Amino acid sequence: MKRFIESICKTFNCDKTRLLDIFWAIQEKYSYVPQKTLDLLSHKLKLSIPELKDTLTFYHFFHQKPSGKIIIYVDSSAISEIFGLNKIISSFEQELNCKMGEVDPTGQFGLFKTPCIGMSDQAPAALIHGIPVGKLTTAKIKKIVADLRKNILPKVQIKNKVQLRGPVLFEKHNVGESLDLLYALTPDQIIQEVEDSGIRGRGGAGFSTGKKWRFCAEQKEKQRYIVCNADEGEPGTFKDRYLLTKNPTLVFEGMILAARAIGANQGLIYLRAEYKYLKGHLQSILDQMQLQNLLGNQILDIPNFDFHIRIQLGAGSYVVGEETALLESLEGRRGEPRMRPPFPVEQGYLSKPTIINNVETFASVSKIIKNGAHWYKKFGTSSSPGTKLLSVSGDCAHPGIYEVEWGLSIRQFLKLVGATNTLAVQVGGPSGQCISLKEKNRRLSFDDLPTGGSMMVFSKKRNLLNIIKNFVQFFQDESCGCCLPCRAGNIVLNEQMHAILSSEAAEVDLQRIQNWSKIISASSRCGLGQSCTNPMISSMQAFPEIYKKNVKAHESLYRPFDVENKTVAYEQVVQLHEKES
Amino acid sequence: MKKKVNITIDGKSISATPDDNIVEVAKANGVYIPTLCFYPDMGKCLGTCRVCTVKWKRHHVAACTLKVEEGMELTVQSDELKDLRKALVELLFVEGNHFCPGCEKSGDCKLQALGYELQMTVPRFHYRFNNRIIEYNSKKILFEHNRCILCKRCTHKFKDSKGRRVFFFKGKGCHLEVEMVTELVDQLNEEQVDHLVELCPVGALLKKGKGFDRPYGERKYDKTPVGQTTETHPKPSTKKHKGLL
Amino acid sequence: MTKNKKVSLATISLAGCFGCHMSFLDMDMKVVDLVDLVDLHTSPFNDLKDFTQKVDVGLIEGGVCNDENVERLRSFRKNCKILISLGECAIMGGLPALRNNIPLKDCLEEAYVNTPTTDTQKGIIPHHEDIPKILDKVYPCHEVVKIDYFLPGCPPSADAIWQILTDLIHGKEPQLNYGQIKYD
Repeated sequence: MKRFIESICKTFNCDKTRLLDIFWAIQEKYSYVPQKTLDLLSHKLKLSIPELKDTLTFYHFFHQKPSGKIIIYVDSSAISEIFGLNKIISSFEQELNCKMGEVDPTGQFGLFKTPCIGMSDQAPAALIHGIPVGKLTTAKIKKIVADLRKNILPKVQIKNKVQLRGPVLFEKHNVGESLDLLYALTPDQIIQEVEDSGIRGRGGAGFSTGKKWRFCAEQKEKQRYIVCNADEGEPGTFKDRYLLTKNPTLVFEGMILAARAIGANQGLIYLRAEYKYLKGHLQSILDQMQLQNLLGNQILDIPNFDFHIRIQLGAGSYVVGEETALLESLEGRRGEPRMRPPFPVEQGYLSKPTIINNVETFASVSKIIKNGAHWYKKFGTSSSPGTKLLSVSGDCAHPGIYEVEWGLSIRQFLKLVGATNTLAVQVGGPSGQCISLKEKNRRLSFDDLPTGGSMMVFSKKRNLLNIIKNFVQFFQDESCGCCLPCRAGNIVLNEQMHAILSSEAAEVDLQRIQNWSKIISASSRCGLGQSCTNPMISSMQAFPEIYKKNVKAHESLYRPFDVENKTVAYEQVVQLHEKES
Repeated sequence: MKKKVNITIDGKSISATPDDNIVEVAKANGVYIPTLCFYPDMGKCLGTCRVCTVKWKRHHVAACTLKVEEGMELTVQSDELKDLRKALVELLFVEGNHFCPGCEKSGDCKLQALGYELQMTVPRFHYRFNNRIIEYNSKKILFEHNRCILCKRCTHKFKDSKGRRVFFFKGKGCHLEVEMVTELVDQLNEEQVDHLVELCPVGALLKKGKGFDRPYGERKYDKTPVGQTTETHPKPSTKKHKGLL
Repeated sequence: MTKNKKVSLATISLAGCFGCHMSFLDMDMKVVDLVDLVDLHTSPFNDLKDFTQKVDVGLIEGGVCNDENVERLRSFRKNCKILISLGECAIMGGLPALRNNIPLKDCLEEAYVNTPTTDTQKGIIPHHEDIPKILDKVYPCHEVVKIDYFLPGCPPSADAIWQILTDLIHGKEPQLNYGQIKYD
């Protein structure tokens, strides 16, 4: 063990910022991170054990006790839930002979839940030893477990269903095509073109990409970085999975253009751990690009234009999708959002000016540079130019990937995806808006209904409150805990949701939820806390009748308090002692 | 020196130096912004408790994270903001187990003092009766995790003589905890231990062997509201005690 | 509440130590003034256990630790127009709630079986149909019934009790000054 730890420390140069890689290496060898390895690491890296655990315990894919040689993570998203999550869990429990959250008696298999793994188009799904398997059924699970017992792992079989090939990202593109313009355009002209296109960040926040690049280029510090946010964590989205599987060069080209624009020589892709299976594929593409002189030193023989891209694997955390949390994680620490200012363009990765953009943003930029800002602005609306990749899931005839122009109305959307008998659309995932068909004339755009891509459709046969509860639970689990309103507030909201579902709440509780939600979102430190109240608030607005039906009109003077139930423990102790004597 | 600019807080005009911290600027001008995790003169703020939330341009911002800018117009005291702060303090009271009658820090506790000031009689949220550990292995410090408010003061504002961090976080979300490096805590000198205990705004970190040392009525916040007191602890000297050779 | 008619008052101590009741008596000479303002009904002060009529104000000391507490508290809710949680125990369980994180079995065994003062060979955990059944945890009163006002403190000072009572008697929303709200 000592030699192994020494060798991995050597591989990563005893670099503390590579702590995630080091833990991954350990976990790959021992299937968990044994205490002994921490002792050795502590010695080697000159960090105390609590300091190592500071990072280690933040990420839910790292285990500190034996958790099975093969770990099965069942996707617990709302979409999985409506497509039979509970049945899937009991099938796994039965086949593996262990409960959810436990290791089977042989110690071979571990069974855990994890939030959305980016497979909502093929729900219910699970990650089996890092391999995504979709459309799970009891029969399929039987076969998978039987195979696993024979040491046969399932094959990676992602069915990317592209339902609508749009005009921008699906336009015919040869590898490196956008880079041809590197000879013609100065860095400043690249930024100008991006600025002129009016493209706004595709991750959700919608900040102007051109402005971001311009700010970064204006910094005094010359050492700069490009970071691609491939931590697609919003439940219900899988469009980055599609881009990274089918068209990663487009993304890399965007990063190279950004590097040229601001003069960066190092790029990083933060790949969410759920997409670990893509790492090999992406690395081989990067290697190929290096061979084609599209990456590496003197790219396309342009003097002094060196740019390298490294893939950093995450380890399971939704909040890391927030750009400053992502930076913390890239530096080998807990993924807690930083305080802003300073913004990443001023002090980002390793405190140097850094551009962080979403996978889709980089891919779109390649097209903008290739075809020009003018071409790009032909699509979409004036305030939201261009197109948007949507990940469509839930109750519709055609789930999958759609590239649509901004400005699409919900009515058009529902027709497009073949949704009938629709109750609600969750636009932009749990952190977005839950809307009813009364709002079907609203349009997807930054000034009306923004979306990072997640579009979940729910039909009238679904229990909306269960879905909202799933979202609230998700935020509770994924809060980093560093600021109070989000850490403790989500628990309070979850309790209230529970009370509503168990018919214990009264109408006055709905008002309380509204008031408390305002406080939580107003005082939280980052986007997670600020948007964690959206599911409840927007669904209460869209479906007041559903909530009303589940609560009492008046709060009783007598609170629900089950004495019988609360004296069971006492009765048991008394009985036990009676028996003994 | 930078040129002074004008800002207003609750309508009061204040002349201030750009980039100065809003909480301190307000204080220097007789405007009190309630804080909890904020620690004066300590560089980067922590921004964890959010009690100092104020309004600026219709947005809510934690004042401790704000720097003076020309023409700023801030609202500190409004019914809405008072209720927001009260709710945050109440969240802390239900999140941990704050049995004030049995706590040595009672009377000197900043959380409690804020409760008094914001006139909290009962939290609007359910008590959770969380079950965290009480750590007594250190020779110098008793760590009662049930009282910890996870403010990050000890994890980020406390260093030992060699400049090492002694406290870290463990877990996340509602499972978040502070973990101390017991070996390092045991190497702290008397002065450092006193500073550490002062640094903890609540009764989570207690000096072993100290117990209750002042009668009711003579404690820090018994008669003086927290807004009228100052938190100016001397920075611990880094020189080591010679010991009793 | 009208100014001329006397206000009826009831008090009770649930899972408390009677400290709040002692603090009430600590009003010294103000007790005499209070007699002019209130009629005392069900209360440990006069040893009246049952309600004979509806009363205006009920003061609750102590949290809820057994089934009898629940019953008594509900009866107070039924018979009092205004209920006030008096002291830390009523508000949040107080020191008795320190047991909330210890399994009930361990608590009972420590108290009745393993303690050095157990006088028989083998300790017995009290149980009889006439003895209240212990709840799994100690609960704040407002988790059982609606409570209208809260006066924290361990105990609340006589001054604060006087303040909240006289404010209510004079039909004012109770206003407590700095020092009157305290948690210890």
